[in-house]
Amino acid sequence: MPAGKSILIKEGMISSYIKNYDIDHDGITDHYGFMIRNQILHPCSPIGCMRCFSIMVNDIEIDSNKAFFVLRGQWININKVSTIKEIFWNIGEEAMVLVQQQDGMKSGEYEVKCLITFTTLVESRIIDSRDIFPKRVEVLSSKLTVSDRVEEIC
Amino acid sequence: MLSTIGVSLWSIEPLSFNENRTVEEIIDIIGNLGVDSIDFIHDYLYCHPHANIYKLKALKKRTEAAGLKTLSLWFRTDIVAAIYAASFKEAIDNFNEYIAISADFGTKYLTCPFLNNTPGVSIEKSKEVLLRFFEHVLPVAEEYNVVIGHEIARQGTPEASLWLNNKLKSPYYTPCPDFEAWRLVTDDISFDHVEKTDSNNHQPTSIELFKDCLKHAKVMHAKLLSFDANGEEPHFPIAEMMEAVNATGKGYHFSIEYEGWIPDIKPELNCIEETKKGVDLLKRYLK
Repeated sequence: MPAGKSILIKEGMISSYIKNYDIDHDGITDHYGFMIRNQILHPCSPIGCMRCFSIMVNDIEIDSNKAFFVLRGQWININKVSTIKEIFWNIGEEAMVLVQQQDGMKSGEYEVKCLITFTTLVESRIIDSRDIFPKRVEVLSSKLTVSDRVEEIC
Repeated sequence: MLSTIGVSLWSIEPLSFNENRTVEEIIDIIGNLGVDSIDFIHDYLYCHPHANIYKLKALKKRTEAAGLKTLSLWFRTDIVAAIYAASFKEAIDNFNEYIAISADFGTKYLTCPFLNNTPGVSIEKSKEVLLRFFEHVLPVAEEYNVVIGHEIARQGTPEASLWLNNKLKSPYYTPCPDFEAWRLVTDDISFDHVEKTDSNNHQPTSIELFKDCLKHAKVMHAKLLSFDANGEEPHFPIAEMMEAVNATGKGYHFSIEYEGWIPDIKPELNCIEETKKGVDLLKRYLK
């Protein structure tokens, strides 16, 4: 297991843009989102190794009930990521963070932060469901600009 | 040279982050480093949530096509932690699957870390728990002919592994010395480890204990952090350790784990070039 305190390579982990999405294909923008790339060192644990996941935009915390970690088309509310022991995020793989918001995000630049609390349990099939192991908090921060296009997700 | 030298995929993991290289491309890169083998780490094995046999066999073919053997498969499981976080049964079931994966991959060795970081569990308690655990899994290891190398990289773990080795008396359990346990106290690189949130009061393990481990070890993890201008690695007692290795008259399988690329050390350096320095270092010392 690595020396040091870094459990991920932060640079480049969050995309440089926010996109607006029409998820239900009704012609109305209903979500916005950004990409997040797996640059966790030794990324062979289920996504439940992330014991807590929260998002801030311009220092305002996003309602966690409306935010989702989307991996290979699988939508997981960020409140429930810590329960997942059978979905794995592969090394270098991109996931999406999608936030439900009518009309999406207006054009401009935003500071986005992902605050992720990782367990120190060193395991690859088992998650720390009872949170008996200490945790490390990592903050990913990036300035993102809004893309003009409205995307659809198939 | 009696020993073999392999490179752990850990050594050039930054290529996955910075250059989007696939594991297959990384295998080809290692094939050009003048080494005997690849040490596969869990990060790149297609076994989540369970083994993808087709993809694992393809990895093996790619390794052979690159002119390399497989040194071992390293699984990211701290056994004591797994038992306390879940259950004894679940830890055994997972480990038995790892043994089967290793056998199917055609490798003789499976390695896993011994970390001693489970809250409230002393090293003495860990020894008892591990003894019971290995009594269950070693028959499976024997059935599949896979030797377990218990990676000892933390204070107290070499002694504990030697105790287990003495109790188990099985050729299928071996200590796997990791240079990290023998790291010298220097000012330039801290002794933090990612699995611990508090600071470490590290003292290097003695060379005598290293010699004791050599009587039983088959696989060694050559953790290397940063080279000086002469290509030496001043953070470990390399000369003394290699002298001890050569004195045994036996060969070992060395897996180079170059780790200087982590954000805490020198991420700006080229991990392939630095790993090659590690290869050259071991070739200079090993007889």
